[in-house]
Amino acid sequence: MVAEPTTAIVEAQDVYKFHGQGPERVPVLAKISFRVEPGEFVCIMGPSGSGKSTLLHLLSGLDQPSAGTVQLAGQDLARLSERRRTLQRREQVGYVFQFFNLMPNLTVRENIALPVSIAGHGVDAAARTRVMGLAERLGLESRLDALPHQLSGGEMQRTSIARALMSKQPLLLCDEPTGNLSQKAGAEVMEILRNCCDQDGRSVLLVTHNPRDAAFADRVLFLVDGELAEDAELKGSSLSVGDIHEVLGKLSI
Amino acid sequence: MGLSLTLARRGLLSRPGRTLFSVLGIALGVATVVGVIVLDFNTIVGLSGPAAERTTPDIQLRLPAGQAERDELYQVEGVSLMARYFQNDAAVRSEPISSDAPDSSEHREWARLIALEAQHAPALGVYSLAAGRDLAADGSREVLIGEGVAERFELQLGDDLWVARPRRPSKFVCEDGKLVKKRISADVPTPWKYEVVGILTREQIGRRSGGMVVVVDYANGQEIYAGVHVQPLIWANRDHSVDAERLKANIASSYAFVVSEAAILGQAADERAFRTGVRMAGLLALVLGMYVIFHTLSMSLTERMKEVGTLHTLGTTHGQIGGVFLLEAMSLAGVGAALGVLGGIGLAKGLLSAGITTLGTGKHINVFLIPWEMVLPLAGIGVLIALLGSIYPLFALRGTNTVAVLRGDQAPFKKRSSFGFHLLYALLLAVVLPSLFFVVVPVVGELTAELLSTLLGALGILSLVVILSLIMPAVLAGVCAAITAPFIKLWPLAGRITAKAMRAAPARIGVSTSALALVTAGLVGLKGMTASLEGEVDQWATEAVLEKVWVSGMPPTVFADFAQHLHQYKGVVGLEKGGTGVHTPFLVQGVAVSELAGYGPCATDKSLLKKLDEQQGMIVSRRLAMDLGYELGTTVPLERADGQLEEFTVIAISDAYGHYPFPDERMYGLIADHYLERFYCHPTDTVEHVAVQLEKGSDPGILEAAVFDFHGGPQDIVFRSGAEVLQAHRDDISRDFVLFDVLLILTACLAGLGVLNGQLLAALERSKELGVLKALGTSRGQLAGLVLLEALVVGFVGGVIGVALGWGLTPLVVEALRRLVGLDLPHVGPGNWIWLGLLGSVVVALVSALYPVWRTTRVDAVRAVRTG
Repeated sequence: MVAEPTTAIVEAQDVYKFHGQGPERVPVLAKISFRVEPGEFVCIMGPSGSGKSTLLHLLSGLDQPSAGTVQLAGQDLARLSERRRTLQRREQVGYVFQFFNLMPNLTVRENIALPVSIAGHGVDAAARTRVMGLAERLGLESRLDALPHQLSGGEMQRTSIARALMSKQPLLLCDEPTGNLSQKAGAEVMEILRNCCDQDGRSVLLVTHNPRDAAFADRVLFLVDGELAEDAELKGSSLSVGDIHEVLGKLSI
Repeated sequence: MGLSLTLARRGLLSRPGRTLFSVLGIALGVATVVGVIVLDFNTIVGLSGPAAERTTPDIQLRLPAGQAERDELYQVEGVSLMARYFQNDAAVRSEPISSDAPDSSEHREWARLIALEAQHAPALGVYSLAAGRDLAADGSREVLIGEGVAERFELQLGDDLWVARPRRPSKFVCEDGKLVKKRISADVPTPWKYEVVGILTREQIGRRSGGMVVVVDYANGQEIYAGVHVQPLIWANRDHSVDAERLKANIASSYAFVVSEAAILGQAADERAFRTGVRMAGLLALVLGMYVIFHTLSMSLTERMKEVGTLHTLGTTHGQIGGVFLLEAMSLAGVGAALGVLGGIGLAKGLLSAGITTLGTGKHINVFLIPWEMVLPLAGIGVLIALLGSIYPLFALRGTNTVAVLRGDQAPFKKRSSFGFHLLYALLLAVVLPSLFFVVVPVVGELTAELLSTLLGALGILSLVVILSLIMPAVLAGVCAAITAPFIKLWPLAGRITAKAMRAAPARIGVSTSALALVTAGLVGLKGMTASLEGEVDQWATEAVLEKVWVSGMPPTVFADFAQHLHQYKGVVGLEKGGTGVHTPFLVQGVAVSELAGYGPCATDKSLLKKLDEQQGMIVSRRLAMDLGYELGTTVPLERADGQLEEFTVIAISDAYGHYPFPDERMYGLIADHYLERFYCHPTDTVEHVAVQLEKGSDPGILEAAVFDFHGGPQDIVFRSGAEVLQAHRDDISRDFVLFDVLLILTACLAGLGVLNGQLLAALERSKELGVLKALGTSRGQLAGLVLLEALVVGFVGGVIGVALGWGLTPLVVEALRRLVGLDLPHVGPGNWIWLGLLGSVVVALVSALYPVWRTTRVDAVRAVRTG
């Protein structure tokens, strides 16, 4: 019996992205095609400048591909207006940034609750309960009234993750979330993201150049010079750092 | 809305310094313009007195016998709404008056009768009714009575009142210089019955004679006074669209007239120019305040781009983000405008308490009213412009590249849309705001071609500076950076980094230099104009006062004897009588003709003496001639004491004769003293004040000795030299322009705020760069040097531009004043104020940089190098 194909939470088909115009245009991404299924943890690896962040921008609708299609929750982003793309991103994507990007004048509590306000809702009792729950889950319960400049790097990133989890968007996009953290803090963050996938059923798409981070994923794709290395995909629930290093070596990354 | 409100509130509270200075910028701009308007309003209201006390309308005209019909007066530009009238005493009673009863108070009650044309009476505004209605225009025998009459006779509406003229008594008439008693043959005045249709309030003419006043139609009044000559007079109101000078010139050539002080208060040419200048200074402050706030709001966007990018990535729409900036702008503008209104009212009150008004200094005003119909719209304009300034961030957000922002790119905006909006805002500040201002605050006086061209010229200069700095800031920034280059040798770090920083932030540099340039131009232009005014006074004094000495406080002295005594002393050229003058309608003074032969125009043209003495010639002062359009040969009708008109001819226009420090009048005419005696029964033989013309270089001590010799001692005699009078006039100019100095200081504070705000924002924008410098070992002093060097250069460039503008503007301003005010102002130039203006610009910039220096030296190096 053949399983019915599921709707991918995000899908890229023959996506190209160029910078510049005419004879001087430079390809950043070329012939990118892949999909992320609901509940899947996918990692994209590549060296600096390989186009990882650009890919995330395209998948979230922040930027438009030069060619190809990107579908987010079944919607072709190119067919949507800028406002509709923003709303689609609001409803479908939780974003975790490398440099945390917390609102400097809001407390931890308020930063976590920010998506509720963005959606135009008041922070009611249910929202407050949820904030507290996320804070406890991420070890922030004692820091709820602190401002960002009073937090450590790890605390800031956990706040950023809590913010991304607040509105229960089905997809988490993470752009080098451990890039500015210590090894220990980075490991904690990756555990949290893994839990989001396992316990909440969210999809996670994470870009990184760190093999240790990639080992948490169900699937690892390798981006080399703007292209996905077709024969380098790793799958399985027990990926190891060694496996990843091996592929990296094969790809001369 | 909740998110926008929260972020806006936090944004303002987390940056208290910038919030405070932004609010101050709006408040200062609004306060200055509101203060100016409230001050001017109270000056006019306070000096003209309450309307309730005015008992005559604007103009009283006397028709020359046998000349122009009243209707011809309608052709006179500046005169509107005329009514024929006369006034005299009348006997009144609530029962029939016996014709035989004598005029004693036992048999008759007396009231002031005012007869005026009923159809025009209500519109003249010389009375108001407490009860009843106006007189019918059909000649019915109706009367309006004052409250005194109503109470005395217990009259109500509908009751009857008998009115009769008094018998004609003997009277003294001035004939050929003598008061002659005229006996009148017995006459029997007819009493007339009138119906009371209205009761006057105890205001205006209703206050006369303690309320014992009656008003009847003109024809009825003529009936009451049948058989008696009554001089017909005209009451008229002034058409305010015609300047006071043009009005007086239009009627002066043919009619004897009196224009009430209240009708032309603040309307003389020099007063109009002063008041217009004050209003322009207020407008400049408002423009500068809005200019500063626009840049504060637009630069705040740059500072918070990362925040904006994050919010957009998280799904916040541009509209929601724009709401944050709009709410911030509304808060700043609202609070700033409210503080500005309060501050402006306080400023006006303070200035008035110090005796500073828009008609000079040293005047005391006892009223304080707030013209809300002008104040609130002005504050509203300020809020509106500030809010429009917040549109730029909203506008710019549309062109924001969120990806570039997340990457940390410095210039994510599309340049073309930024240029377009800057141009639009420049036009808003330079064209729309001034236009709205002149809708709310009307021009003082008539909008003549000269005034319009002057205003447009001033606005043109304002536009030039504002527009250039908004759409070509790179030019200013480039100039500033180039000037910084030589400092590299002296201060290598500050020189290099400051030059680069200025090139990278042309908007900030453009605003700061332009704001300082505007204020400096204002200062230099003002001082140049003041110098020209002082130059005019010097020129006048050379002819009118410098070789004179005024002697006052003498006991009554026979002039002829006194003159004969003084002429024995070397250096005494001539004497002029003081205190021998009448106002009809301008000051007319009597002179001993023979005393004028040794100086002035009479010394060069001896025929003038004969014309003055025998042919009713008149010498008029230059200011009077300019004001009333008199030329040589002009016929000047003067009303004699007996009401007849006497014509004099202008034979010379000169300031050589006739000026007195008391009443310090520069508008007067001189006639031979015997005409004053003859037509006004004004004795001129005896004087208590004289002006003595001395030869150049004479020792005034000799004059003092001569006077003491005549009077047998100093007594209470006071001498005042021409040099003292000249200095007093110069001091008057300085005092009167204190108001402009106050306004300039406020505007300089605004310019300083612009510099401060710009540098604060720069410190925030560059906090990472500054933190890295600190981490690399840059000292606090060196960091301070970065800010101070920029302030020094901006102050210098702004000062140079301002000085050049002001210096170039001064001749234009002087020329405009010539055309507007009719003063023959010399071109003197601002003198040392060129250097002082430049120095002031640098000082303001450096002082404004002190707080940004403090902030810059406290940047957190660790945080700066750690965050992305």
